[in-house]
Amino acid sequence: MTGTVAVLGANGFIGCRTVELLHLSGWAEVRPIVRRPSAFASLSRFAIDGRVADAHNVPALTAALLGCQSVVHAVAGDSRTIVDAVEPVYLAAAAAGVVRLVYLSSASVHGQSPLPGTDETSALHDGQTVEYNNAKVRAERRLGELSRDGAVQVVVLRPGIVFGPRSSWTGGFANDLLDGSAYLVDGGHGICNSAYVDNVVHAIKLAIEVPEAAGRTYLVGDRERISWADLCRPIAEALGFDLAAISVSAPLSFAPNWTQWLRDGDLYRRLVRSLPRPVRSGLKVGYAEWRKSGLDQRPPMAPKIKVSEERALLHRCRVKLPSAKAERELGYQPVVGFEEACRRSVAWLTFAGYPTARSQVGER
Amino acid sequence: MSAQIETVQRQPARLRQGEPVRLVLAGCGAVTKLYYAEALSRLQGRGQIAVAAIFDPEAKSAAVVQARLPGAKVAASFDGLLAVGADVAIIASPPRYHLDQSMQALRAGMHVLCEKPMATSSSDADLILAVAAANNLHVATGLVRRQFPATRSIKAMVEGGLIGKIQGVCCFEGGPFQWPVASTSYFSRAESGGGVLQDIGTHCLDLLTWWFGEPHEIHYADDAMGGVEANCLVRLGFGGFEATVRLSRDWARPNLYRLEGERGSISWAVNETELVEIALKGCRTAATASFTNTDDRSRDFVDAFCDQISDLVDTVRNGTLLSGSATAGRNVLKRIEECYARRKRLDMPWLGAEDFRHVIASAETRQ
Repeated sequence: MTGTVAVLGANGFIGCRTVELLHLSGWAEVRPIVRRPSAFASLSRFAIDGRVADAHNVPALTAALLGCQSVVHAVAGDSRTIVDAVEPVYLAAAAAGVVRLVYLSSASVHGQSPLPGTDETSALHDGQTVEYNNAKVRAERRLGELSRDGAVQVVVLRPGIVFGPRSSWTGGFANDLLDGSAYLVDGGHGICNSAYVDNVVHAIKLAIEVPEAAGRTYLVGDRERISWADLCRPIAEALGFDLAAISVSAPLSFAPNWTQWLRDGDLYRRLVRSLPRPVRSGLKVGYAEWRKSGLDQRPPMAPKIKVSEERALLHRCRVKLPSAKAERELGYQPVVGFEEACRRSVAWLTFAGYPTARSQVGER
Repeated sequence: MSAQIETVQRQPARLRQGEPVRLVLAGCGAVTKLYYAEALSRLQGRGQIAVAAIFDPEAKSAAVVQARLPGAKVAASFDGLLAVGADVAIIASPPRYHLDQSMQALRAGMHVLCEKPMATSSSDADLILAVAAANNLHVATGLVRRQFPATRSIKAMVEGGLIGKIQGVCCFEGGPFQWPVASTSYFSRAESGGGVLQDIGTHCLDLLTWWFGEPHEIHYADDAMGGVEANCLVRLGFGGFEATVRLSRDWARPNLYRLEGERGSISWAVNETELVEIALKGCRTAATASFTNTDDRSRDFVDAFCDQISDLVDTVRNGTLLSGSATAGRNVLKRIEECYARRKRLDMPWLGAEDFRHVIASAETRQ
């Protein structure tokens, strides 16, 4: 038993599996922390002591973290949320007497197509064309500045493309296939720096328990060198699609994504935050219903494939990022091989109701 | 709660034609803010009802709803709400209050419309029914989907044999949970009676038994490991066919009910109030048909809540047959209890062997 581990952003894909694995294995007492009560819907499968606290609210977060020895920071969100959540979380962890904070960054800090020879020592910059990368770079920097006071030990993990049950790379790709918007740039022959979610959770455990990890940063991923086509093929096959039919070429230039620009804008965020909480919740539910009904009623038509710059860079990546430092210093070895990871992911698609070849959910 | 059946002292005043039915509402949470407030406002605007008072322990929530229902007093307590005096009480509080508040309203001489689930157990629902019967009062349950022209049309089409003998039914409903609940108690078995089955399963199982009658066989599995289920699988055996129901709180799928018959199929998208897709074998085209109620007016989701309230109001005023009767609410609770009693573990294929060993060794013993 490794004391009590708080998981911030516990309702997200990685956070949820972290809670599940740590709890079921008995490896630690887990305390999921989420921003709103409704986020406990999936976590309530377990009898776990969860808390509601906003990652920007230091007093509420401090109270939620009291008694925890470690914190796993898996808060997801837009670029601003990623950066803004760092300081309150660190201050709350310090105030609550937390010993170690494991921050889930991303291999994307090196860009979607990193240069050969990239590793943890490679210089980072926040002038990249993908805003998510810049946000992660700034978040890491801010955490580095904060941790100089020594109040909390910080370990930064940079996983690659984290896939598995409930991930956008698995369920999201299946959705894209079914609605006709899936694509692979240049046949998906580029290298996918995959990290099956259970391997990432294994790295999180090591980051919590290895004393020498304090203050260090680690790239983590699967052992195998696989392509994007390798990652997507099992999903396509399970759903009866041919990968060759969804290969596209990337455009020569990319227009700015206005919806992302709007979401990241100060005006939009201020407007949303100025609304009373019930109104925000109501709008969210209403929007989801409206969007769903719009999608359901839309007449079938040939979808327009819009290749994103991020996806184009990812699909043409030529570098397999190393996990050598994590192996050497943490003793990290992926616990689930790629083939088994794909089997479990496809089995989850069946569980989640996708029309796979084995569309029958079972029981034990 | 005493099981003794009591006869109320105060009988409801006889309603005069043309006068609005007086109504009070308990609970100003999500379902009221999203649906009941607007529905009551529409009915009040039509002169059918008058909302005399509302109550919620959270003063802010009550104030938000009162702003939509000018003229309604805000009661400081549930007793204070009943003291205002009314013909009908709507109970839209969290499920753990449904039994006590329904009983108190009935004892105060009011007819009751209780949001689903009617109670957290069928035995509690029986208590409510017995008190209502002993006092000649009506109790309706918030099984709002029965008000949709689409679901009514499906019932008529099934009974009329449009797609012939039913051969199989498949329902898949769910998605990331976004209902704006006020606290985590919504996910407590003690306070809500269960998880996704008790929540959206109430609607689903009610529709299936409304369309096809009572099932003669039930199989059930879910993913609860010490808490309440977020995913479940129900198999219901009806005469000659099986209905498979998959409910989820964590992943969005097409949200579709599909009825396969020997002569065709009917598909209904969850919460679609008017549209139904019909495909008949031997025909080259599948059609999407739009249905309205007998008054020919189109119906949105709030209209369904209006119809649900009007249903009870009409019954109180004119003695018409109550379509969302509490007996249906009680019966669906019984089906849910039968599911939980037959519970098996849902196969969760992403869990490794070690995970499962721990599930078997510890988590399930905490159920």
